Amino acid sequence: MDFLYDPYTFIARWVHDFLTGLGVSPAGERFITSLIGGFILATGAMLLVTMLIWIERKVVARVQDRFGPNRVGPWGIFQSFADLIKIFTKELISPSGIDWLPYNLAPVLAVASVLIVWAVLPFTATFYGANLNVGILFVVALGATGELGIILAGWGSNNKYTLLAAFRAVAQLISYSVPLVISTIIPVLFAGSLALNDIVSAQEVWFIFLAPLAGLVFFISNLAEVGRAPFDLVEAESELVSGFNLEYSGLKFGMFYVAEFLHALTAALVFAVLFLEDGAAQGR
Amino acid sequence: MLNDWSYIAIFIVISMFLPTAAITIASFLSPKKPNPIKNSIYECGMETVGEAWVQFKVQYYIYALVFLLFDVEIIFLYPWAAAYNQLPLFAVIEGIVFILILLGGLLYAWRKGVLEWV
Repeated sequence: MDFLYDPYTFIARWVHDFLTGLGVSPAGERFITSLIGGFILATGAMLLVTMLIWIERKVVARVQDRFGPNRVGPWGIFQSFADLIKIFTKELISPSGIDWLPYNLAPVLAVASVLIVWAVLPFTATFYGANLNVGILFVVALGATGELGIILAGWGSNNKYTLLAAFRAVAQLISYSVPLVISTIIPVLFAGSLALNDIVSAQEVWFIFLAPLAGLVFFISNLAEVGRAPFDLVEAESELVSGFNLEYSGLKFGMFYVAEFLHALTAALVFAVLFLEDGAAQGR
Repeated sequence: MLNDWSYIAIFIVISMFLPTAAITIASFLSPKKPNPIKNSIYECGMETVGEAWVQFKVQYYIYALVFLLFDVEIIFLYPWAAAYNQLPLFAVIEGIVFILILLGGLLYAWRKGVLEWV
């Protein structure tokens, strides 16, 4: 096995041999490799998000004729990491009268609901977490638990602004998730399978050329789900102060921020898997 | 298959664990200096009138119900779409009839003004 051609399989085989050499049982070996792989994938996702935050700030700055972050590291590339370290030392203010469990569960759930989707995404022909035969259903169903995090945040904060903002955010999310899910039926129909790996290998031509309307609907619905530019009425500053995350501070707010960017990244990945893959080029 | 599901169980635990661990570490590192003014609910300098946990319009509930209806419809359409290549013509027409019936329901909800955000 050539290391440069397929490093993932090389490392996986090496870890497998190493653990079998130590005399670990097959079930235990599977558990350990899943744990290591999952941790690396989840941490990698978080690191990519910090890079994405830097890219967004840089691009927005260029659009507005500014420099953007340019002090920490070359081109300010470590700015997000500096912010990340600093946000750890910021006070976590818990307002009086909050509902403790929903208030603290919401930021965790917001990140987890998006991160879980990474378990089934096929990155290459060999590098993927799990090849579920209901992969697309898993992505849609687990991705929708993010709405639960938002409503918990709005309800638990004991604030009327956050409650209204949460209702508005959830109304937007659920109304756009119907066209989002319906447009995923088109790739399933072409591929004849719900597994994401099969959808990728079935694409001789990009599905967006075969079904441009479905691709467009999926893209626009994803913009609404992520709450980006034309659909950013979720955080209407003039009416709702800041949105459902108004009462959060420190890293708890940071978690919502990370979740937002992670959601954008994940939505882009799912879009690429469903509509922009080339199975033949990946040697499937 | 069981392999995949065990991986997903582990991954769900990891994805819950990472944010929890980060917040726990932050709560140890961060200063704690609460005072009544700081802990009060943010409402642009005003005191909150009444309870914040209010009951919301029933219209919203119907809205969510329509959403649920269409989500369940999609669950039924997934197996139909996955097996589309092997289906006889009858089953294809049946699927279209199913969509048309639900489209009638959508038009009814639309006429009743459920889709309006008031």
